Amino acid sequence: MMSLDRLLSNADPAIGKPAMQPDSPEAQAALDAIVTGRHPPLRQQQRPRRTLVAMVAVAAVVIAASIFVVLPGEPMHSGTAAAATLLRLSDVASRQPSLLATRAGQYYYTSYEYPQAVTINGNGCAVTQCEPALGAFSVRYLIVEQLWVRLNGVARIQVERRDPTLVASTKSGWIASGRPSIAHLLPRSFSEVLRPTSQRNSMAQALLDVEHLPVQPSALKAAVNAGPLGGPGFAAQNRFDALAFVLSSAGASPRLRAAAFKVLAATPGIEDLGTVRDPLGRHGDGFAVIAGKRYVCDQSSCPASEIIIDPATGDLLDEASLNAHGAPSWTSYLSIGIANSIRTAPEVRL
Amino acid sequence: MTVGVVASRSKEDQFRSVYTRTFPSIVSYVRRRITPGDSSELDVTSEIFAVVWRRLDDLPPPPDDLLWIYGVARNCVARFHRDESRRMRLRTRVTSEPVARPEPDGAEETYEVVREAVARLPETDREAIRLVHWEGLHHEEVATVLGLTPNAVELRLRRARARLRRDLAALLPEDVDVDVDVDVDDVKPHPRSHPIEGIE
Repeated sequence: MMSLDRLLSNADPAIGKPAMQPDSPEAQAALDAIVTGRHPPLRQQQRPRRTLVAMVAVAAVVIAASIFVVLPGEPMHSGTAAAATLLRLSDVASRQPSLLATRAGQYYYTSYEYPQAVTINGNGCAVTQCEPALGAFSVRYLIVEQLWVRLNGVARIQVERRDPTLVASTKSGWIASGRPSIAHLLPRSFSEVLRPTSQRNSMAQALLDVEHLPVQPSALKAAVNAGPLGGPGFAAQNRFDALAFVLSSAGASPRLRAAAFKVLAATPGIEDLGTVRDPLGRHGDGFAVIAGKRYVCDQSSCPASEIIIDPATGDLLDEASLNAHGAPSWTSYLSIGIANSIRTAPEVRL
Repeated sequence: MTVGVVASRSKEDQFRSVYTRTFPSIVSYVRRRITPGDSSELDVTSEIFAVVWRRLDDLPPPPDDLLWIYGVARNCVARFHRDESRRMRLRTRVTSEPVARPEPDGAEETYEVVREAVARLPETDREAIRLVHWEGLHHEEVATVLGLTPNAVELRLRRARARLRRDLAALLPEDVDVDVDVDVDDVKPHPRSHPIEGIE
C-alpha cells in the first residue's frame, strides 16, 4: 500500500530531470538581458507602433496598460456600465443570422492574424526544432491563418507569414550568424489538410464543444466554470477568456452568443473601456478583466485580458492579453463564416 | 562615480544575488507547470525575474522573498497557459515537432495518472497540493504564496486530498492501493526539495 503523500511526491515531474543552473549560459544571458533592459519577450512582441499602448485607469481596479487604443473623448466606465453595454450586445447578437454549417460539404471558416516572434539559431533552424546555439536571433512575423473545419474532422489550415522584421535587441546574434536574409529564413506560406482519424481533431472537437453549450445564461455559466474551456488561472479571467472563445467560434448560434454576453454582464470585475480601436483600425466596444493578487501586481505586472466587440453585430473583432511585462499578445479576427469548399473563403460578415 | 551609478550597481548586485539563489527553485516551479520539453521554460522564468527586477524595492527579505517570487510565478504561468490555450483551441499544433517521450513504465504510468488527477483539481486546491508536495512548502508558506489564511489552506488541502483519494482509487490499477488512513494533519513538506533551506 502506498500513501497518498508518497504518490504525490513521486509524481513530481521534476524528478530525474537535470535542473537548469543559474550559472548556465542560457540563465546568465537571460539575467544580463533583464538588468540591461534588453529583455525581449520571446513568445510575444510589442504591438506595432501604429497602435500605441494606451493608459487606462478605472475606479476600483487599475488597468494601467490597455493594448487597445482608447479613442479621445471616450469616457471609460466600470461595473454597471459594462453590464449595460454587454446586455445591449446580447440583444444585438440574438438578432444576427445563424452561421451553423448545416449542408453536407460545408466548412466552418475562420481567419485571423496575430504577431509571433521566432528565435532562429545560428545554424538557421527555429528554436523549437533544435537546441539553442550561440548566434541566435529573433524575427517577428505577422501570422495570418485561415482554417476550414468540418465536424467530421476534415480540416485545412493555411498559414502566411508577413512583414518579417529582426528584433533589434538580438541584432548581435544576427550579425554573428552571418547576417542571413530575414525575408527567406522560413517559408512564407504553407498549408496542410488534416484527414479524420479514429478521433476528431481538436479543432472539430472544439466546434462541437461550443455547439453543445447550453443557451440558458445560468446553465452556460455553470458549464463554462466546470468545463475544459476555462483552463488554469483565475476565475473571472477564466470565464472571460472562455466566453471570448465562444464568441470567436463559428459554431456559436445567435442564442448562445446572446447568452455569453449575459454571463459576461453578470461577471464581476469586467471593465468597460468604451470605444476602442483594434490593430486593424476597426472601432468597437472594449472590455477588460484583470487578474492577479494585488501584492504581486503593479501598474504593468497584472495579467489582463481584453476583447473588442463589433457594436453592430456582437461579433468578436479582437482578443488580447497583457503579460507581466506589459507586453501584449493579441489575435485579430478577420472573418468568420461558412465555406462551401475547403479551398474557398466564404462571404463573411466581419 | 555618481550616487546614481552606485545605487544602480547596488540594485544590480542585489538582483544578481536574488537571481542566483532563487533561480533553481523558480525554474523548477515553471518546469512542473508547463508541458515537458516546452521551449518556453526559460522564457517564462525570464519573465518572472523581469518582474522581480522591476519590483526589487518591494521584495521582502529572505527567506520570504522566495514566497513572493512564487506569487509572481503563479501569475506568469497562468498568463502563459491562457495565451497557449487561446491558440491551441483555434487549431492543432500542426507546425510543431512532436515532443518525443519515452514509453512510460508501470511506475511512471501510475505517476502520470496521479499528475492528471492533480491537474483536475480546482486551481487553488491544485496549486496548494503542488506547493506542498513539489515545492516542499509548509502550510503557512503556502498561505503566503496564495494569499490565504493558514486555516483556509488546511481546508483546501483536506478537500483536495479527499478528492484525490476518491479519484485515484478509481483510476489506479488494482495493485496500487492508496492509503486512506493518512490524515491531512500528517502531511509534511517533501524533505527532498524544501527551497527555504539553505537560504542565507
